[in-house]
Amino acid sequence: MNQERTSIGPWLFWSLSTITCFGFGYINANIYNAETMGANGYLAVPLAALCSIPGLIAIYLLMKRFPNHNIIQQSIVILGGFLGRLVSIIYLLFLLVFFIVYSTDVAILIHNYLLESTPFYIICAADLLIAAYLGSRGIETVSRIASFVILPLATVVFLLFILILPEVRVDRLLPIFNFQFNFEGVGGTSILNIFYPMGLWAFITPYCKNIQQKIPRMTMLAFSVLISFFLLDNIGTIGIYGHTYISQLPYPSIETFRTVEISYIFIEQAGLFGVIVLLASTIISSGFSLYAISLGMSQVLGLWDYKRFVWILTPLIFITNIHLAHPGFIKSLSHLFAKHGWMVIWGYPILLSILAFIFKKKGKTTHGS
Amino acid sequence: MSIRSKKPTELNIIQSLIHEAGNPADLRIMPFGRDLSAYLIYLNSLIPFEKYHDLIDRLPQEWLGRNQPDPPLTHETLQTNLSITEAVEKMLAGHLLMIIPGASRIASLDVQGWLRREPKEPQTERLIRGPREGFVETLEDNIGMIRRWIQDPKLKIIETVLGRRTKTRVVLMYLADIAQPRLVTEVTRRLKAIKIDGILESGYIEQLISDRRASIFPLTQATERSDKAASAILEGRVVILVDKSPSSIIVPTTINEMYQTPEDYYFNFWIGSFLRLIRLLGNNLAVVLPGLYIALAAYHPELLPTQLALSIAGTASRVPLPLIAEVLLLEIMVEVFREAGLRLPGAVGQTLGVVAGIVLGLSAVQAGFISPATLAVVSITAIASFTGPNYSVDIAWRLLKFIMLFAAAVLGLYGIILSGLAILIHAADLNSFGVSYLAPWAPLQWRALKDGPFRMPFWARLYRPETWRPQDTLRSGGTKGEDDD
Repeated sequence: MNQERTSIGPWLFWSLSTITCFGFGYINANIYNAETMGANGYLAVPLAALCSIPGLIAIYLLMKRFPNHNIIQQSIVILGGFLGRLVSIIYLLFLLVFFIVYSTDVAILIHNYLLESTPFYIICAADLLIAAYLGSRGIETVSRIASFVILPLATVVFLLFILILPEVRVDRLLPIFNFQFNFEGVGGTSILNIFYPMGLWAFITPYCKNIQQKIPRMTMLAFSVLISFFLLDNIGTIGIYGHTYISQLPYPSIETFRTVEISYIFIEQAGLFGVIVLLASTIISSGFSLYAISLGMSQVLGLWDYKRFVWILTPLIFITNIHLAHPGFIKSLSHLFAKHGWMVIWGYPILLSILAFIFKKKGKTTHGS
Repeated sequence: MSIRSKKPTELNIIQSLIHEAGNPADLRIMPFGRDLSAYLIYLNSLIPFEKYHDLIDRLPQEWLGRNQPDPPLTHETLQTNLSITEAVEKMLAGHLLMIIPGASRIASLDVQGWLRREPKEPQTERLIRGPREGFVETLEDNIGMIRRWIQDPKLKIIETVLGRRTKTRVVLMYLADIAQPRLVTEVTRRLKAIKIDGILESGYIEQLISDRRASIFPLTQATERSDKAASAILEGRVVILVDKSPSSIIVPTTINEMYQTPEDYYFNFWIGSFLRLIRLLGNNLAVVLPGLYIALAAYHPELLPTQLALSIAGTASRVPLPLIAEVLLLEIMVEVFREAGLRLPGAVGQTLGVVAGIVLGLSAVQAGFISPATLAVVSITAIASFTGPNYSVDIAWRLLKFIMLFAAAVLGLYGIILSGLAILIHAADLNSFGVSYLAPWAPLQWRALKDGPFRMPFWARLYRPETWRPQDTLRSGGTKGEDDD
């Protein structure tokens, strides 16, 4: 099996976590927030971050117990050969379906906003091919790409957020202290999926063992940047369109960027930059997801390596994408995953961590498998 | 005195030498000494005849039998007791062979009598401020140029010979207390692994030691400037010099290095940084502009200001070709003119550029073949492509420009994003002698970033770039010890 001989540093870890979460959560998060929490839906962002922490702590504890194993290898050790593989396959299939829904949603977005007259399958194929190319190059390349684009990306996004602020009407936002407890809890879980790529960190823990001590700090740093991103995004979207109108917009974040006008400089709409940034981050996010799922599949089945699995999975995902390509259906599936997907994404590492503690399972200190 | 009247041993040696060398037409045998008892054997093509008398004056007096002071010969240039095979190898390398009278011994003298070129400023790496000195085709001269920059006993010069038939001399130069020993070992290992019949230029070695031979990006840095090579050595990198090649190879390298020139450090940091930013902007324009133009004009005109969109649409409506064909045609023509301009003599090449650029361009617009907007875009692209100081990477980007152009023609703006990411993924996947090609951006190296798109002042750059993992990191300042005293 092709085990990568590499390790990623703290900066690479941070940039990978930040950019993949950004690319993943940016599309729909503000719709779910506004739907469940109304005018103060932006509060769901820090709540979602808080709700993600137990899952991340579980992954961290598992990493300390099994420094040379990722979540799939840990499952096999903790649950035993047969059960571990079976549960891992279910877990991976869940991630795969999640990824298919996500990639179809992205392709529909591109189809609606940029290439209305281009056949949907061409958009899907192009998107998946680049994501597969990235995924097949391994964790080092994925993290380097994230590191390379994070600074320009963050600069553009923050600039755009500043430019949309004049359009925000404060009366559309409910103040922070107007607390509606029941809704906030639901709102937090409704966008827990935006931090889902952080859960994929469970697949790359063996490559992070040299920075084990720095991981909590880097994760908190990524959280703070992401919370700022999503807060500004939600405040901007709700403040411009109002929470009742947001659900009627297919992609509120892009619509928000469209309101920025820097007329007669070079381009009519600053939304162009927003789209570029968003699409670049979604492809990096897709590449990372594809890499993680392929790595897990190859480890569970003990076949080939992740590179081959990436190229085996890509046509399957492509075919499924085309058959699922109905915006309404994808939106409802996406919503379903957003509301309940966290149970698997964060629940599984927590369960494994508890079982490892109960059964006193521990990994070997030498480089395994 | 004829050869036949000599002792059989000397005659045998000469005959063996002739036989071993393949009896070449340029082989010369000259008797010399007090009683013409000794012989000089050399290749006239490498040691011209007019230098013969000069050579005799420089030979050791015990062989000449004259009462002259000792000639200035060093141990390295004079080698004695050579075997026939060794002697032939030396002779083919341009050494002068001597058959010493009374003893069956052959000596060789490295006289380097071949033609040499004066150092001149390299045409592709011209600077406004800085030395006008570039490498030449003679290895010793090139080593000497670097030695004049770095007068440090720690400067290591390791020689090896590559090419079964060309026997090309290759030299590694590095500072022993700065360059990472693992880097030196790796460079040596890769050089030793080269099995080839001939090395005719440093470009051969560049390709053979590259980490990824199929990559379009150069994973080593070539330069003809001695100051640039010396600067690389001071940073902790290794410079490879190849005999008969004016291009040195610097390893490792990153894409960041491809946009730097020595001039950035000769001017103050404001000007240096500004020049770098202009280069980066020029490079990005040269790669992205034609594709972006197609994407915006053909797919997303709503993103352009209304007046500009109307202006482009108005002129494009009078052109019979689709936009992609128009841009592609012009881009190919520019490449043709550029290549033709390189091969033509200087003045004619310049004239061709003017004729092609102004006369043909305006004629094509007036004839309605192309639109003025397209002509402007392609002209800006062509000019912007000259801003890059590294020819290899410039060519790579020129090729990649066509990929982006096609991607934009098929998928508009999305095509540009996808192709740009694909290029970036490929670059992120590359290493140059263990160093990430995207360093200091990926992985981010704050200290090395001070010499990135902006060139920080010397007082803010106390350390050598961590990218090259130097042993001695401190570059300037370092007064701690003095303070302690």
